[in-house]
Amino acid sequence: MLDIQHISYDIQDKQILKDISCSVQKGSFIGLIGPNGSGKSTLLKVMYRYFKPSNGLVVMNEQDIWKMPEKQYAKEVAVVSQESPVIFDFTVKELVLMGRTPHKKLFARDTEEDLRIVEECMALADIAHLADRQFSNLSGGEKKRVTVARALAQQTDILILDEPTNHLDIEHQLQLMDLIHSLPITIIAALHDLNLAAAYCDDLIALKDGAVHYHGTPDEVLTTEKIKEIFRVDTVLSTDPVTKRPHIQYMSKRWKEGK
Amino acid sequence: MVIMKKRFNLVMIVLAVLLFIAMTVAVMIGSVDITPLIIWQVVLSHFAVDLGAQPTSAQAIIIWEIRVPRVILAAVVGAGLAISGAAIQALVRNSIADPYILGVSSGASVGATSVILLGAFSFLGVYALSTAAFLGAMMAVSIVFLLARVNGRTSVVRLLLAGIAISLVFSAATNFMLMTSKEEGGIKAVMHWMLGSLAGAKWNNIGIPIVVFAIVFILLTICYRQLNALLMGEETAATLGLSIEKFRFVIIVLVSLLTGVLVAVSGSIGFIGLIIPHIVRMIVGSNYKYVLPMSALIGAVFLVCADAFARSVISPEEMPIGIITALCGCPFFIWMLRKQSYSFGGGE
Repeated sequence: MLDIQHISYDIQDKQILKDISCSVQKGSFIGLIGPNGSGKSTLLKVMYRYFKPSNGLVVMNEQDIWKMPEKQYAKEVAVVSQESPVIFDFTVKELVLMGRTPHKKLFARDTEEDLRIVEECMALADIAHLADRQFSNLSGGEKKRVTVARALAQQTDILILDEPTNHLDIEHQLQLMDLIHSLPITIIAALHDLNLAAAYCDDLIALKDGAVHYHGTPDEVLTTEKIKEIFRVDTVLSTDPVTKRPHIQYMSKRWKEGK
Repeated sequence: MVIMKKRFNLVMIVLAVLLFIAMTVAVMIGSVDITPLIIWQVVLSHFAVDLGAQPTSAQAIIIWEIRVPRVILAAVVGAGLAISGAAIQALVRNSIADPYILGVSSGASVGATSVILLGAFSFLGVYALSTAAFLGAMMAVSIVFLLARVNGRTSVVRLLLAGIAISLVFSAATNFMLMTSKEEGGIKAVMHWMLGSLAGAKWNNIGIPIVVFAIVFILLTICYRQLNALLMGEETAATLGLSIEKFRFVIIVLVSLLTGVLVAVSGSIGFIGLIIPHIVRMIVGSNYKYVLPMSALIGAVFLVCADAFARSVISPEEMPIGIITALCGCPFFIWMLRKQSYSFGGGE
């Protein structure tokens, strides 16, 4: 449903993305992995129409996303970006209600339906109890969940998340991953934690230096050799007894050399 | 949110009553004493309603031809500057912005000064001053907007800095005209104009401000969701389906038109566009669905009172209204600064 065709993206003379092609199947959960500076965020920004690629096309449902009206695109794709500083005073509920923006015509009022969707999404993201709190007074993790609830309120077919588990404690990391995994929509997420990526994603795309190095199931992509190539880290792999997915243990140079 | 809505409705009703009282009292104040009953008799007689009072013809003229237009203009200018300030703060996503940040007032000053001191546009007669001020304002804003646009994108920081730079250039031009002028009276008139005054209000020149205010207010209120989205930052606004460049352009045009028209009739009255949106956000938060209507009402009440004060404090002389707005507004603003519960759009 989302086709990335020969995308490249340059900032001045530096090529950040190099001829990237891949396609995302409807309903799948795609994890984007790669070291810092590999182009994960940039690729996501190109996918969610914030950066216009220097070359290539992003095609959704057989339509060039740059030829779609902004509003229509926002009904198809919701985004939880990495940082979303909210510097003005809004309550949590007001913020989640903003997710309804692309669905509202100019003169439209907020309907019962909108409010019901907002309540549902707040419940899903486990923030219903924060509804009337000021966003600026929340903890980092709570803020992240509010942002997720706002994206859910957009009721899109695709949800793009840029390192959604940042700032979250373990409980809320797992809760969030469970939540997005349970959604019947297409998920594309940049993830730092390879074990989370292994446990939850259907497919992984491994980026390095702005190019796709590997694209496949977690079993295919997460091997000792490939991780070494992408991340320059030695690992010991096992199979997680519960998820039956690869489980990765990192070995730092210090222990490996026995010092 | 339910709480906010209730609070909003309650405060709006109180403000509407306050505005009614303030406008009535403002018409009463002056060298000729007039009772509220006579005021409303005169006003309503123009709508074929008789309250049974017997105003003299002198009272009728003073009320209807002089004081009523002035009070209405005060309300419109106050409301207009307040919503312009609120909109600009959303546009640049910065709570220290005011409606003049894009160069409107310094541009208007150049226009007004060249009319007062150099006699420019004299063929326009009594409309020369407002026309020149409006044209100057539009010229300054257009230059700022063009400077801030690079490769079809408008950057907020560039917009702010271009606004400051152009304001300085235009102020320099005004100051140059002032320094080289030998007319004492003209210089004083320019100073008076720059500090703002509503003394020129007449039925035939308050029509345009009223209409422009009404149109801009309605359009901004319709766009409250987009203004909210803009407050979330460019990237989030884009992912919520906003076409940022187009929307910014529309907001800049609307706000510049409104402030240009207001400055043209009243001079550049400071402080309202900055302070009123903050007062409003303290009461109802940053949701523009509430911020815009409440800014309009508080701005109107504030300026009607300020103008009444400006007329009476050193009567028969008039105090420039800009001095009053700053003198009354500042202590309040400083008190707000010290309050912990309000973040001023500064996050944490």
